[in-house]
Amino acid sequence: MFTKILIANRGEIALRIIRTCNEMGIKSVAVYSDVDRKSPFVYSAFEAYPLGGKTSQESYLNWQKIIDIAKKCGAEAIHPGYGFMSENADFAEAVEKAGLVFIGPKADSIRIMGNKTAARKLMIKNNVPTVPGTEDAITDHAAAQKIAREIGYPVLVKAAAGGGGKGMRLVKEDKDFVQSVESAAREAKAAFNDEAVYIEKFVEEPRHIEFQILADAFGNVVHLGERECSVQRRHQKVIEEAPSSLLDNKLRTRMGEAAVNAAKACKYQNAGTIEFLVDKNKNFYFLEMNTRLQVEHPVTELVTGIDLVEEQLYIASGSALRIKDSFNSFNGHAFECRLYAEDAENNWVPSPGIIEYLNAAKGPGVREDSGVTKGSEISLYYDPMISKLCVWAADRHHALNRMLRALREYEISGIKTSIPFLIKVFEHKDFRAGNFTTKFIEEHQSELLGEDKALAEIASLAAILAQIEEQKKIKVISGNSHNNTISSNWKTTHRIRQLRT
Amino acid sequence: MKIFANTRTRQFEYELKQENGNGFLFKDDQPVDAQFVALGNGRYSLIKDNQSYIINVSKKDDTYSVRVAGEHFDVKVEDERTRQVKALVNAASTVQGEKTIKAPIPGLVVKILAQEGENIKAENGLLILEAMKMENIIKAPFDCEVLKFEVSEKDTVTQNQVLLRIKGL
Repeated sequence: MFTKILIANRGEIALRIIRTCNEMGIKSVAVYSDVDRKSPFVYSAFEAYPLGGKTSQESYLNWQKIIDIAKKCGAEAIHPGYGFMSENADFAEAVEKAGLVFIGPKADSIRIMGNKTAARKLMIKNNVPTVPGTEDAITDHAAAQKIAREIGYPVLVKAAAGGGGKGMRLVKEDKDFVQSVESAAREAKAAFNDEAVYIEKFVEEPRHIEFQILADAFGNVVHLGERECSVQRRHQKVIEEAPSSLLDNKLRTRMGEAAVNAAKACKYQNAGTIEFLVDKNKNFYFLEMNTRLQVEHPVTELVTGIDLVEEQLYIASGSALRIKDSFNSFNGHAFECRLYAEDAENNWVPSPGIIEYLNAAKGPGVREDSGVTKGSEISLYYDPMISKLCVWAADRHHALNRMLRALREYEISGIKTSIPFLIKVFEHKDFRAGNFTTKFIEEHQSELLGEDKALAEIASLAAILAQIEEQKKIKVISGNSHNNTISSNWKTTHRIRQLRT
Repeated sequence: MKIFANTRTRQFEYELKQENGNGFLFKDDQPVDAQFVALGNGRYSLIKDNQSYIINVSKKDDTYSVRVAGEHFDVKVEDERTRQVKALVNAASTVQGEKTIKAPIPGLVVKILAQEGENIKAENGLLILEAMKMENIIKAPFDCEVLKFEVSEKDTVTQNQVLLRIKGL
């Protein structure tokens, strides 16, 4: 096992990795930009070295400098976290060339899975289902129709040179095919001077379900079950859970086998994730592989009891997998909410600033992976995610209620966060019933935004009282401060709503 | 004295009556039963009609950011007098033809796309503002002449900060 590793990342994930290092007796080395000098990951690390600069380019992407620091301080390995250089094959190669270990897959695996076309071809060759469609563009309409019939309707006709929805048609039935393909070709010809089209299966009511895998250098691969990440906004995951409310054991076994095959196909090593789309008929299709530790890995840890960073370190140091069997059953249910510094009610604008007060949710079944603390400044230089709030409970219903409780309990001021929006998602009946797709936020936008009237009134009263107190001229005496009368009905009703289970 | 509290979409009206340095709040002519106790760090315990709330307040300019039960509200508090003064100031300050372009989001000025004195067609870019990995192009709202940039490349700007002044053509 390593005695010292460098973490080429920042924020919550750097701190997450430091914690496992501390538990294992491994010395952790942080590197940091000027902006991050006061961040918890810097002062929690065993050693810390400045990278200088403010932007990512000047700091966390300056890989030559990072490798130099690693060599000078005597680190044996580099953990890239997620984002930044985690899926940069050239970096992985440079680390190995410098005589250090890259805690992640080999450069070749990163390279092939990072290329959409190459990855798709590799998956088809290894019997991992992909979204059915034509490999090459076609101009022969009769041949195209034959392919559409083979794939099965509905299909998407896409202009080969296309983009921005131009030359794209959704065809639901065979009788509409010829007309649709002709008009798509005409539009493509007019827009791009190229009438060639692709035919692709249209994935109906898609859900995003991914499988966590672990693989060692000896060809052993296991999966640790799935995470569902269908609640997304502009392709950014917002909420993740494990297990998925959609899968039964039969489908889980089939998808798990496909995930293991995908990892074997690219000779994968270390922790990785195979992302699938699942349609309304429970057909599943390979989407892509993330060749790194995922943001949402804690939900898997909560339902399997495995520390994924610890397993990564064992694998990278040359050990065989310590987990021998794939997981087809789990302990309870877990959710993760990504807390972003943004204001959903104001068109999702970023909300930088100083965290004036922070009192995170605590209590039974709550785990928080946060990169900030009271006094932290949220800058504009990096990702707006400040923390990941996770809950665990015996089943999905209790986990839903626990997350609602934790979100309401979470006190933060000075910046705005996505918490009010998340509360509305966890209150939404379709989300609670497990009835949602990747379009959930888009479809329910209006129900997921807006002010709660009763709470707006409380907030208004608080603002008035705060202002009067600030002016220090008068002392406000409560109207009935010695009166113990029972509250009126509507207040009680509101109160119950607030605590609804 | 009347006091108005405005959230983004609602207005609440209270009446503050004063007597010997003590204040009494009324809403719809009913006395408000509320105890508001500071806990430090902008935290308050509010007990209203025997219902208990923990509240976080932070003030920016003239707006109170209030967090309660996970919800978040921006509240502007005004009494009758300040409201009247503001109305007068606003009426006097509008200059014809000239317009300021303000930052719709806080961000970094990555690139300035136009020059002072240049005529820019509607929907063409004036500058690029980057925030948290996303680039936003600030465009001319109508055909205009660029009068003056109030920011330079690499500047950090806050939301609603004036970026430049333009004049309609």
